[in-house]
Amino acid sequence: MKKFLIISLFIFNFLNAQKIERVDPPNWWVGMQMSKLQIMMYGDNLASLDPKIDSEGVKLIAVDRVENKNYIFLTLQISKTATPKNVDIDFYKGKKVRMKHEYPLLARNENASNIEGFSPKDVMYLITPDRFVNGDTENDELISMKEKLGSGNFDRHGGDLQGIINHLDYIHDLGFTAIWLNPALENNMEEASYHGYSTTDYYKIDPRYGSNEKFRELTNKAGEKGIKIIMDVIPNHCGSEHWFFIDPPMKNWFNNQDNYTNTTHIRQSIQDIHASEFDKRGHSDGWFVETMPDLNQKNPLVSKYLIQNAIWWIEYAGLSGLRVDTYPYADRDFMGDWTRDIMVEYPKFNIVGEEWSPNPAITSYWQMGKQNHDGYISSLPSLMDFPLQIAFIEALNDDFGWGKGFIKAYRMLANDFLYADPYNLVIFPDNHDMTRFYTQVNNDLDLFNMGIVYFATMRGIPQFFYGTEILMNSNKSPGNHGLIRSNFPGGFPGDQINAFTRKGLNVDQIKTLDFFKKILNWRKSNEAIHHGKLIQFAPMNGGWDEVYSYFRIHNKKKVWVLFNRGNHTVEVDMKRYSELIKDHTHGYEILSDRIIKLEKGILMEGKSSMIIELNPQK
Amino acid sequence: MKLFHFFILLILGVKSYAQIDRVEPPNWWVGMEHNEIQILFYGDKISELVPRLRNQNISKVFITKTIRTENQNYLFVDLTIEKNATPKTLKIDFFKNDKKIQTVSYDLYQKDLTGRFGFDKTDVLYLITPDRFANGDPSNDYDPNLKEKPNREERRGRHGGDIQGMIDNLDYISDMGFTAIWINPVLENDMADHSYHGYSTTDYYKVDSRFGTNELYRDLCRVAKSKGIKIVMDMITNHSGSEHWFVKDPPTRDWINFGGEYRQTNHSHYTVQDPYASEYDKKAFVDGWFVKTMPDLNHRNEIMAKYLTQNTLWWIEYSGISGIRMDTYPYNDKKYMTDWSCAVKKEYPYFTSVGEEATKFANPSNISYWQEGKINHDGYESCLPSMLDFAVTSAFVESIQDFDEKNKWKPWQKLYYTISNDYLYADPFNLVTFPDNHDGARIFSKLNEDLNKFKMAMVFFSTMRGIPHFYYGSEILMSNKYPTGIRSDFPGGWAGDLVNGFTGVGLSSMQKEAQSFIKKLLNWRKNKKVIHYGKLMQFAPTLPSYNKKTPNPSDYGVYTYFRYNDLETVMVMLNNNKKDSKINLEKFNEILGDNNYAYDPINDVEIELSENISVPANSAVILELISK
Repeated sequence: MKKFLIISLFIFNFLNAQKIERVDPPNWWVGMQMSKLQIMMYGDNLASLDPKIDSEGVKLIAVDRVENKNYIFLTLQISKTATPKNVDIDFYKGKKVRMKHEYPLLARNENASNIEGFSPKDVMYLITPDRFVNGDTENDELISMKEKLGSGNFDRHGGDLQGIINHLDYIHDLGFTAIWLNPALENNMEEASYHGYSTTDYYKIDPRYGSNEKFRELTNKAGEKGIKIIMDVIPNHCGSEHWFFIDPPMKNWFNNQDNYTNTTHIRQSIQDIHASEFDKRGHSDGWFVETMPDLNQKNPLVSKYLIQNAIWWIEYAGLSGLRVDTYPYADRDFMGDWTRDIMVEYPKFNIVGEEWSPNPAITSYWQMGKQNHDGYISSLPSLMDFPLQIAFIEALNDDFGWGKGFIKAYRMLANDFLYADPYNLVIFPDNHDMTRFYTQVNNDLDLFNMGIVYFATMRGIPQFFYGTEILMNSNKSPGNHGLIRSNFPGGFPGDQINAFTRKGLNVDQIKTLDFFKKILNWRKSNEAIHHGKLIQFAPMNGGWDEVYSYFRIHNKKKVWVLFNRGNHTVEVDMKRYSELIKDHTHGYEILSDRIIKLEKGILMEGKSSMIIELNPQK
Repeated sequence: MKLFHFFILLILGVKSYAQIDRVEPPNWWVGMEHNEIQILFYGDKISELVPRLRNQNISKVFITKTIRTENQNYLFVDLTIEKNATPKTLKIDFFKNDKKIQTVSYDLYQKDLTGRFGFDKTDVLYLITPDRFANGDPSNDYDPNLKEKPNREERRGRHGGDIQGMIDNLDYISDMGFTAIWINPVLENDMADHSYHGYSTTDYYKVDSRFGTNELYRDLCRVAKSKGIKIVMDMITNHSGSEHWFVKDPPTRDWINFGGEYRQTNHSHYTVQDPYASEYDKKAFVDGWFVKTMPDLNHRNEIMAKYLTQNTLWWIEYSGISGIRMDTYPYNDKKYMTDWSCAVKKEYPYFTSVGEEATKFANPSNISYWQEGKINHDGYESCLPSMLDFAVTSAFVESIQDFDEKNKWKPWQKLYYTISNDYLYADPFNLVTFPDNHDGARIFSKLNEDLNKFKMAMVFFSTMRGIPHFYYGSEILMSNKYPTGIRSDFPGGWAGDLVNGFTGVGLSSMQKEAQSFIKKLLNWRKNKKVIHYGKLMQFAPTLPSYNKKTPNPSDYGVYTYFRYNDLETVMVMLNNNKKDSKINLEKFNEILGDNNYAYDPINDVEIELSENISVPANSAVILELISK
């Protein structure tokens, strides 16, 4: 460091070449709730200069210098009356201005603070951008980026934002109204960078996917089609090639900064009243993997940096939601601040956190509005419903007998009292980290269809992984992440099969595409599914679990969903459901497009589902 | 009934007057919080009678209300006993058309002002199925007035064990280190068969004569108390036996749920808290019958509710018990259980009741709902101090079994995860923990008759937070294979038994080893305040090394926790490895502090706490930390 300093002074003195290499965030807006802005500037020996601002409505209220002289942190107070402009920041050395920086304060888009987050009205399509469509082959390999294209499961395949833009119609026609995009920020890592979870620049879309502008073009064009964009964010860690890991601002910018220690994954140490400090630290401060250094969010400069970054992307791109990676691995108090500040800025927004626990007592801990035993307050509106995913798959694949099958999903839902708002959870049969759903049900199309009906009609916000609609599987190596995230057929040059045009799809795939299209488009306008109260009936027909059913009820609209998991046709006993069927004499079954009489028992084929809209009551 | 009727007529001769045959509760006390009592009078066509209490103003006891139901054989009389009333025998005259027909004497005793104190964290409970423990009085094995005869060969038959048998063996129980006995139900079960388990009450105010008498039960409580042993009564408010006299001739049409017609409960405990439960399922669970021979009592009927609550208070006051174990807790009407538990608490603030929520998939989110102090999502309130911790029981057994090459990624995980859910409870330290009970497989069998694992179980339940209970005979390794199953006779409890668990005659060396191990363990626990009241700190069981080249962490396969207070720290290590472990102590520094020695109370040795500590294969080690 000393040596470096001498050299840099030398350069500065003789060439006067001191310059600002990075400014994070690169701009801000006027009229934000967050009126105190922290600007991190990075450049050779920047700490030796004195920044000054003389601008109406903008005050420089603090300058923080840290251990590394290449950083300087400016805190600006932006008044309510400030107008959009470039703020001049003058950097003094003694009495001389050595350098200037024009910092843009932009005007906000109309209604920016009222942006509506994804909601139970939506169905999400989860896309791994490297694997969906390669819409621009020019950006596949770039000199500035370490990793080039490859054909292996863990290589980069060339998918990009242009590819998604090109196929928004396909996504829209299927009935999806939101896209959760796996991380698209720069991941300039040596290898396996395609997944995007090793951020190397928090303010830059990976150029192999496009640009910040292209990302904004995606949100705009998607918005025109009624599709919301949800960004995948990772406040817990960055990539080990991140420039601020290579030249960290201070000794405690990261946890275990000089000494990689893996997380113990003991997530429940957070809730455990008997937990040792050893386990709490081991979980929270350990690194997710060796290439993902764990950010120390207890450091207020780090905390502010990450909070602003999230707000910046929402404001810049007009996002409709965030999906937060490895939620319980970040500092818990920090996540409270982070979610609070975002929700204060965008009160109608939605954020969903990943807490991969089978136990709703744990997942519910993080949801906004939950009264926790330890007084912990969160502003996170939604959680990924892993407990229900796990229980439901078990239910589908289970043997038959007492305590088997649908009772597992039924029982899990009965735990919803633990949540402050179970209707706002995100529900899903699989995601980018899991064995493909079709493989999970052992390529049984009947069970698969039951799953689609379930997730499309159950309380919550459904999410499906790209390619589920054409039965993409991971049969060859079920849990292999690279294989799970295989290329979408038709998205890449030379693809023989093209799901967009249906060329080369087999009969089952075409049927499934149509099945999705039908259910999701039906769901789009169904208020009972969007807002309806759920009433479920214990799966006990005939002593155990062949038949399971529930109702969604909103005002006068009622939807009755039934499943028969058994192998035989059964007659559904109407008496059990009379409290809800009441005087309804018939209903319309959506999947088979037929009218069903409700006076007598309904016959249900083995391994089938029904979605019945009850006729309006007289 | 017809015969009985005839009998009465015979006694009364030509006068065919109404006659009161039953009075419940049979007496009450002055000085009770519960001073507005409702007395049930039962007899042929007695509802036409008018009760009058003699000397109301002098006795400070008043009849405030008389309730007649649609059944003319019942009369319910509300009595208010004023605070300044004194003990006496009341005379209640019954009139018909101003003509006195009958006089009933009703005793009001003095409430025991020393109060009633419940079992607590200092205790270890011994669970006894009374028919199967010891036959202290063979003369009561057969009662010609009761339907079922003794048959010791039959798994479901009555074997003759009784209260006298327990009284006779209190010294054994006390010497073993137990300080409380939970006795399976002892009230009359005059059922045709399968009555030995006691869960089909046919008289709420009478100990089954094949077990003894009310007086003998009270003696048991008294003698046990003198030996430092508390008695915990098993109660069932959810249902009675189908042979109960009031089931056969119910006072009201809504006395029994589903109109008195058998409807099986769906056992769907989840409906209690499920925000989405259908009315159909909720009713099927709570109002459905446990089994056909156990009619489900309707607690929404106020007379029924009052009857059951008074019955509980009566037994506490009458017998001097130190606790209640409430059967099938969530199957009861939940609002009623609030009233019930709060009435008990109001009368006896220091008493302890423990509820059974035995879901097959025991979940602390469901169990914790019922405990006093829990802030529930739906505002449900309870005054029940304790619950049986079924979640820890199943997690412990699964965890100890789950450890082999196939399951190497989950050593102790289930147990650790379950205990880390303790935040769901208002007071996890007050739960009753247990390796097994009368409804499931014997712990020794669940552990494949592995003595080492058995010892680990005993150490775990004796040192973990909570109040442990063990099932009779565990200490001599009784297993599922015993002649009549889980609830087999305790050897030595019957005259002529060749093996005698009380004296040790005929026990195998393994049985003797287990017995002396438990004796040592429980007697050590008796005086360990840090186990009774200490906090708990647990360390997550370590997973094996991801990298095959690096060895597993030194404590892999070992679950370590500490009980601690300001003065003492006890360290417990459960090693599930098939080989000895040498554990590096560094990770425990935050709790080890400057303790540099430790005392092992089981092996009676002191060791120095150096960098490593050895824990033998498949064993539990208890260390009391010492700073020198």
